Amino acid sequence: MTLTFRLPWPLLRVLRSMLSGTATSRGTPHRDGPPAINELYHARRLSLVRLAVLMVDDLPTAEDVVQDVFAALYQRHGADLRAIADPHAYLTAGVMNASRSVLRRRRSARAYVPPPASPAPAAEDEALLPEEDQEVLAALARLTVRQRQVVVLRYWSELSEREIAEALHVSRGTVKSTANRALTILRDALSEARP
Amino acid sequence: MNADLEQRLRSALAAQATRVTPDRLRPALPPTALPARSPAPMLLRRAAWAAAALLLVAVAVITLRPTGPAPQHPTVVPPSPSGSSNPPSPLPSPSTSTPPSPTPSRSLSLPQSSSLSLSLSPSPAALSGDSVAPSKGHVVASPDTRSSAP
Repeated sequence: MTLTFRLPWPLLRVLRSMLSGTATSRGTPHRDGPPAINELYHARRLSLVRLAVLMVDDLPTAEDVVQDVFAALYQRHGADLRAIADPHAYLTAGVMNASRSVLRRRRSARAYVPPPASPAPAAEDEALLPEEDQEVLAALARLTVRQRQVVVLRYWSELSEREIAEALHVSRGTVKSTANRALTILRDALSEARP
Repeated sequence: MNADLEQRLRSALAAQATRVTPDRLRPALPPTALPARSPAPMLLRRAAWAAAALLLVAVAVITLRPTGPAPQHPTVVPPSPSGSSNPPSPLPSPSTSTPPSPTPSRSLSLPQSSSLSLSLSPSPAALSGDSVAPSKGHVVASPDTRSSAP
């Protein structure tokens, strides 16, 4: 005959952590769940900076955007990310929102101060980027922030329409129509560049 | 046409993104180097919000409370002509403010509490052992003593 009784969940967690030798305090990494924030930082920083560069066009700002997103994540949730269902999607959405804020601030500033003459691209950049790609990137600058977000998430991050909709907090129909409109603008811009 | 454009887009975005290499990134601290927000300020903030909400509700209740009809005050009966012409009684009684009328009228229908207070308070004459004894119920002092007073 076996007697079984259920322990309360907090007590069970404490007992399990004592047996496995891991602490259960807030901020320690949990092996079963999502990675802790530092592991996530080291694993995702480069890809997120690349994503931000495609949005804001310059590397220092992109690095600041990613750092701010991680800092906000840590301040809000601590090092333990178990409260977040999908940390990768959370970070992508955070980078998109922060990049959008940067672009809006830039546009507001340009409304009052004329933009300085664009500096000549570095020699290594010119050597790395073919002319075709430079044309496409110049055409990307004509898009609105939302259109650019959709294009970058779709053709660089390779997200589905549903994932883009969740990241940008819009409907799938909005994603579809925004992508179609963006492609039309890009096609027109590229045909203008190469008549 | 679309496939060609999409291919160009993917190529350009990949070329731009792969220019960012790990050695071009600035050295940066991981987010745990920043102090995490402790729960105490959050609790304080929540308490402040709750207090502000309660204050707003209290102000709204006080300002929007429907004002009912004014409480019924006993109508002040004008003194009778005889009383007004006569000089006041030398023996002051607590009932001088409400000169009684010989017949109970509607205007004298005081609230029960005020009539009780009047009946229970003995007049100074009674306290001083005067012959006029206050009767139970109404203020006996007034009409007769006033009229008999010189």
